[in-house]
Amino acid sequence: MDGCCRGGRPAPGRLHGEARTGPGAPARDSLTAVDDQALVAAAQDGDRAALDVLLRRHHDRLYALCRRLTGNDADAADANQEALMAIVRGLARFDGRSSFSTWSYRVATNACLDELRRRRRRPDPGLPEEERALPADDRGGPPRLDDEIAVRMAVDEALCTLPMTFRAAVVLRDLCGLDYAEIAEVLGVPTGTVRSRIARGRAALAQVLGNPPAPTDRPSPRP
Amino acid sequence: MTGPDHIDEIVSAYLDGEATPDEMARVEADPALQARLESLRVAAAAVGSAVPAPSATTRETAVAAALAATMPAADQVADDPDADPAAPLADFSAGRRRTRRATTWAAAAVVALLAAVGGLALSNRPEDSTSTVAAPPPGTTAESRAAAAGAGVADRSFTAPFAAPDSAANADAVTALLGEYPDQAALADAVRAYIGLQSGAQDGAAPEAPAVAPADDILAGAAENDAAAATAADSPLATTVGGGCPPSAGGPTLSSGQAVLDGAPVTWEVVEAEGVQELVVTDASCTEVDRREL
Repeated sequence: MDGCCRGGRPAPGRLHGEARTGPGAPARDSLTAVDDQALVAAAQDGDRAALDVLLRRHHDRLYALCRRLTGNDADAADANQEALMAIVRGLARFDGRSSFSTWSYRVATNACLDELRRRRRRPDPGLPEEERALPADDRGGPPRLDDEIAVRMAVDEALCTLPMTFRAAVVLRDLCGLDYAEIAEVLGVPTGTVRSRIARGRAALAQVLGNPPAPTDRPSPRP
Repeated sequence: MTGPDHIDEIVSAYLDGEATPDEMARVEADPALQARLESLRVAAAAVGSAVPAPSATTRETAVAAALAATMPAADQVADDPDADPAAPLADFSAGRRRTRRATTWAAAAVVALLAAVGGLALSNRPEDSTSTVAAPPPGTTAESRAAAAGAGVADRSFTAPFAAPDSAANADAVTALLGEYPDQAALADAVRAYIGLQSGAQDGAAPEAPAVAPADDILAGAAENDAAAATAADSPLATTVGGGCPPSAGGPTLSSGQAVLDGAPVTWEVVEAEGVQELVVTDASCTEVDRREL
């Protein structure tokens, strides 16, 4: 899985109507090449097959966002499920001014925020079973699964040290690949705030992950 | 602006291709900034590293649950701005704006505030079954009074037919009369909002600063939804609940009151057990019908 890749960019040439084949509801496969805009329109008209394709198309990238924001699999799964349900319930009011991707990121970020708020009131779920069961010795050779997990855990822990405002901005940029304007739209803040949050978030991460802080400001050498 | 934060902002923007031409030239000309660029690049790459894929079961469960969710028709939500699941995340610490449903029921908490905060809690006398609340509490601000008045509750007499729990453990607990709620979750939302309002008032803060639900939302909800407020104020709380039910197990009662849950009168208590606040709801026969963390 390539992290939080962008999903659902328009695929030219296929309209939803053209994708319908045979009697009855359209087959899911025939809709996979349809762009988000057409799928959203069809889903808003009550086409459940289109909704199904839309949700599946965006599931993994939203899960990835939730995974990074919540820091563990269990909360990510819960938040992602809440996000998908919120998307279905709120799809009728999606007006297409932003892309479906951006809008769904916003819904998912909201869901993660709610999940984190709930998490504060219940015990830590701990590590997934697969991560607990792995041995820590036998080093050497190419990167092993436990090495990757160690790195992943370090990233999770480092991210969890960030305030949510910084964490969301950094994850939307570095995992999801949104530009500052899109992040501003998702978070509902000015782009200048996004720029500042990303910088401060990355700086804090760099420090936690072992990199030294930035040099103090001084006049730049001019050629 | 000077200092590391400013440097990081320039370097970070450079990393993202969002720096101005001047900033780009500065980063490219300064070895120290180049070194910092590498540090931030490592941090960014760590965040952008592969995320473990969800299992097929997780994916299927999530999609199935979402598909099972009801998608309202466009004309049903067109005039409902609070139903937007993508509402702006204006303040992470205070929590995002609640949905209209939550706001609607939270409006009932405003009624409870008017009834309880400021010394207008129901009398702890079982025989006083017709206590009447008619005025807003002294600490209520002009804004909240105006909002409440807009919702048609400030001047409305509020009949309180319930008897307060009679227990030494409950001696300090405040009793409040909430409205009608369709389910336990809605009642819990109202109790959370009520507790937030109550603690704000007890701390000497303005009652418009609850811990759980932004008071602006509550008051705005009250102001914008006359019907909901009228429902709370006109609540047919005509049936007295127990009155003699023992306090709920778990710890001291912090707050308690009555409400109507799914058409049936209930008593609610907030108890503290091992540092956790729990909402306990009992029906007219003193049977516990719900218990959940707040």
